[in-house]
Amino acid sequence: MDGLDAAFWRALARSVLVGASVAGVSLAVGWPIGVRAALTRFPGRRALLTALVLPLLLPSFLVAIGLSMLAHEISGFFGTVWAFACLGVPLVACASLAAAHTVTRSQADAARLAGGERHLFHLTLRATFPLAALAATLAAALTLADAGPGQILGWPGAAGELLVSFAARYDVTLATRQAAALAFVAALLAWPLAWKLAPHIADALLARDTERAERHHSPRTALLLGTVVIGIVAPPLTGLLRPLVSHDWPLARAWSEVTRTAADTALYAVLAAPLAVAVAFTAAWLLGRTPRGRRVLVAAALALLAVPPALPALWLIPWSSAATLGAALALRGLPVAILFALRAVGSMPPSWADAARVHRVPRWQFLLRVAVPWLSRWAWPAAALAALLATAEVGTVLLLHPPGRGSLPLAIFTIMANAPEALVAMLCLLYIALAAACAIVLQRLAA
Amino acid sequence: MSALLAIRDLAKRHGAHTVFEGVNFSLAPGERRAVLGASGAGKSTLLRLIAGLDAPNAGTIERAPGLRIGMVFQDLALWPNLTALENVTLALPDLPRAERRATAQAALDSCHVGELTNRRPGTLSIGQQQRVALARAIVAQPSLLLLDEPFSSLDLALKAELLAEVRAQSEARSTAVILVTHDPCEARALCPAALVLEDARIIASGPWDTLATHRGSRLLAAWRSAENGPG
Amino acid sequence: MNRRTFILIATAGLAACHRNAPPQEVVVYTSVDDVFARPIAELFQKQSGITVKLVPDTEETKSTGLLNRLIAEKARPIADVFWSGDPMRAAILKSKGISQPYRSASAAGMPPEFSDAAGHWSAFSARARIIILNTQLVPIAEQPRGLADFLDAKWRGKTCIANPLFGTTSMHAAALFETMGEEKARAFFDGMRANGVKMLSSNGEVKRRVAAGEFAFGLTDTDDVHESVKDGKPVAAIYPDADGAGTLVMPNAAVLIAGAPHAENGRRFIDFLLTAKAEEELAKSCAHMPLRPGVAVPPGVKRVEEVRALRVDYEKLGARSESLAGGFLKEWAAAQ
Repeated sequence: MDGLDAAFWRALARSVLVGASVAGVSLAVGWPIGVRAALTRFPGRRALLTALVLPLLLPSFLVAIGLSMLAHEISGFFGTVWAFACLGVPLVACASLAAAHTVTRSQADAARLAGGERHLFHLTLRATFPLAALAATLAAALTLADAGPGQILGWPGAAGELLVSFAARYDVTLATRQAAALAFVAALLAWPLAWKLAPHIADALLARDTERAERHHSPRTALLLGTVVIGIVAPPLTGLLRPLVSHDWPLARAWSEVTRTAADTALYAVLAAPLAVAVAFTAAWLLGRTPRGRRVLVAAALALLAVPPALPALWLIPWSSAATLGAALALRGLPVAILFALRAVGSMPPSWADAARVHRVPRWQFLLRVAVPWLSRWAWPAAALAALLATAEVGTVLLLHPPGRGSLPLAIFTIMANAPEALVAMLCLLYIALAAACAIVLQRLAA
Repeated sequence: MSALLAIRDLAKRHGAHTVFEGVNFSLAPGERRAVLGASGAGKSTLLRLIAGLDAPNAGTIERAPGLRIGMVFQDLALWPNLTALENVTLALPDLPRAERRATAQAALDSCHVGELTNRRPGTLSIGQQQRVALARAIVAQPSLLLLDEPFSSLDLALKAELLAEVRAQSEARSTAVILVTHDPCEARALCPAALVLEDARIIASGPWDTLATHRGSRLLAAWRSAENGPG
Repeated sequence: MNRRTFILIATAGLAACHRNAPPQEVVVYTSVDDVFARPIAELFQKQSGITVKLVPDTEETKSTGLLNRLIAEKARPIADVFWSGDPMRAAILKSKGISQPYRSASAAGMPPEFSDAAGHWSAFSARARIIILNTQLVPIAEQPRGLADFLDAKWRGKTCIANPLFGTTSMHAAALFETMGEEKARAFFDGMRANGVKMLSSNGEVKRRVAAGEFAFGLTDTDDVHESVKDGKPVAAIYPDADGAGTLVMPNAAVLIAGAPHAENGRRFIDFLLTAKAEEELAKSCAHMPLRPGVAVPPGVKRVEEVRALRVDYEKLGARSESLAGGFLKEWAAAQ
């Protein structure tokens, strides 16, 4: 097919290699650390967990630039995998952390009695594997769609080919064809895994005991988590923020950019996240209660994530508005929200709905008073992650935002080319601080 | 007296596997009947068909007009985000709002958990959860109460106490009961009669003295030898 | 109402309050860096009372391109003006029927050869493609003088350029193919590869890594060098016109969009861009060379008449660049 030449397939092979490595690294690091963090309490737990999700706040191109600014040796395949792992590890850790919370107090007590903390850890690892592995697969799919780190660190993949097609050749049809090939290959490769894992993502629990397991004190987890934070979070942030060491802090100039864009950035996140969550939970409610439905949903989520987000955005341009932009950004957060929604729906034993039916509880009352409050425990983390992914997306915002109403990441993206390094660093610092503050406030409110 | 429930030639299959077939029995108002069977014999499936939660592959279930059913599930199925009182109130959709609370409180009181009104299921002991589940099942004054092995995991004393509770409730309100269990002793404490589900059909049925002499059921044989003790 | 509901309602309210359109506005899409375009827009806003809604893009590698947005909005334009950082993109808009001709009265006195003869774009303040070198690594006697130095074995592995599929580097490559001819240009690019010229993701990256001393010199734009000098980095600019071909001059280009919703305000904005005042501001903020003779420039900034410009037909560069991006340069970049 025209455009799908040898160069494209070679680039795709490079992308697949990166995707598989990122999935591997994210799973190997994020999964155990997420489970450990869920089962234990330790000094600085909240701070360390917040630090772990910080890279998720950053658009991937900033992570890549941060790494390349840290040391020029960080490049090529290794550098690209590192940059993406900065996003994949927190994603998998979050998923594992959330999934581990469904281990109830009695289950945990039983496991502790049988074989101590170690046994509980292994048991929880097994219980959280489907969600963790699927989150790692999503992270891999995410790498396929994202041209940024590969271009910056010199390991251009299939998404880079797509970028050339529409940013240098203005050939949207070719880009669409390439995106379709990309999504197809992603779905093909991830399908066996999705097929095997999707049904288990929603293994139901008996609901007699809904108390969470007691957390065991473990300073070692703090050490491990600290190591991961230093390995994953610190390098890109150090690279990005280093110019602040040797320069005056251009606080006023950066703050004016923030105030110019903050309301719209929040607006887009607020439009996108609830939409993604609503669609994901509705889909999971309707389809997610059979293994077949779960497989379909997971496959759809993977394929969606493998499509570079700017591409659907290009087709939406004739209807561009804040609402359209919100909807397009929701697409970005949707796959992750679907994972959480499937797990959420699966954590509701079917007997709850049966009890409502037998006792003639009106369907809407059951939904409103039982299902929605229960599912919302999952909806909050899902919404937070969807909001982060949506906010960090730059290409879609560039194409669809109403003139004069760009987001803060877009502002950073557009001014970073020629702005003084210190200004870019200052903006990144403010952005991270604001997003972290929002995350903490939301977490407190939701708790 | 017309039957509350009449079941004819009922069959249920999962794919090629026949759970049971040719099941016939009826239940009169106020009658208490146990459904006995080993694990996996299809007892719970039968109960789900009676409750209308599942459809049979063959046969009919005739329910008396206006039949109201209450049910206690194996996992209790208490809604964890609601308090004990809310769990019970939600099962009173037909009542005017003002009366719901008082009625629900009365049901909790009658099950001796009236002081736990504002506690959530997760904070209750297992025995207290059973009582709340029972209160929810009886609050709407059902004429048929379905119990799906709700007491199987309890200690003997608590089990006896709760069975007596159900019996008292049933007698006071003349509520029919179907108790599904694998334990004949438990069944006997509540129900004057039982039917035995074995090898995908009803192998025996009737009052306990009839069952005591029945030959050909593995479950009943095991029960008899347990009753007689070693030697 | 619980706290969550409150947050949702409050944010929705915030969103609703946010859309009160000012009566007088002009929508400007620009590929010029935000830090430089915004002050000019604010200046115009102050002088005219017309609110400028700026949609900036970047020429950096990852950009999906405002041009795509303009193309997709052709049937229902939102932008009034496209302020392009180079005439190549303006020419592409013209070829796709997205621009409309406008001959501004304030273009009087500008050298006409940089603007479109049919009036689809008007040129002003220019950048040039230059060599950025690290003054600590390159002794004055050994300073490069032209593009041929990229092929010199002495600098093997010590030089860099940005990805030629994007931004001004793509325009420069197209210009080289136009002026040198296909064969010589291919030989030049192949020679660069053979001599270990490193391809980086963007001009900004070239600037940063030459300034950091990782490379001796590289190809970038005048404004990049200017920024780096302002940042106190040990860099200098060399205009590569020693070999006789000349330096590629890239003027800004103002384009009035066909069917612009606020066409009259768009014309006024273009008028403003073409004034001596705007050129002077751009010379100060980002070392853009004024096209208009006699405009004051800060020290270190050249005027366009001081640079021997490479003679190119900007109109042809768009098509040439597109075909290179699908052919030779795509393979060249992939082989890096």
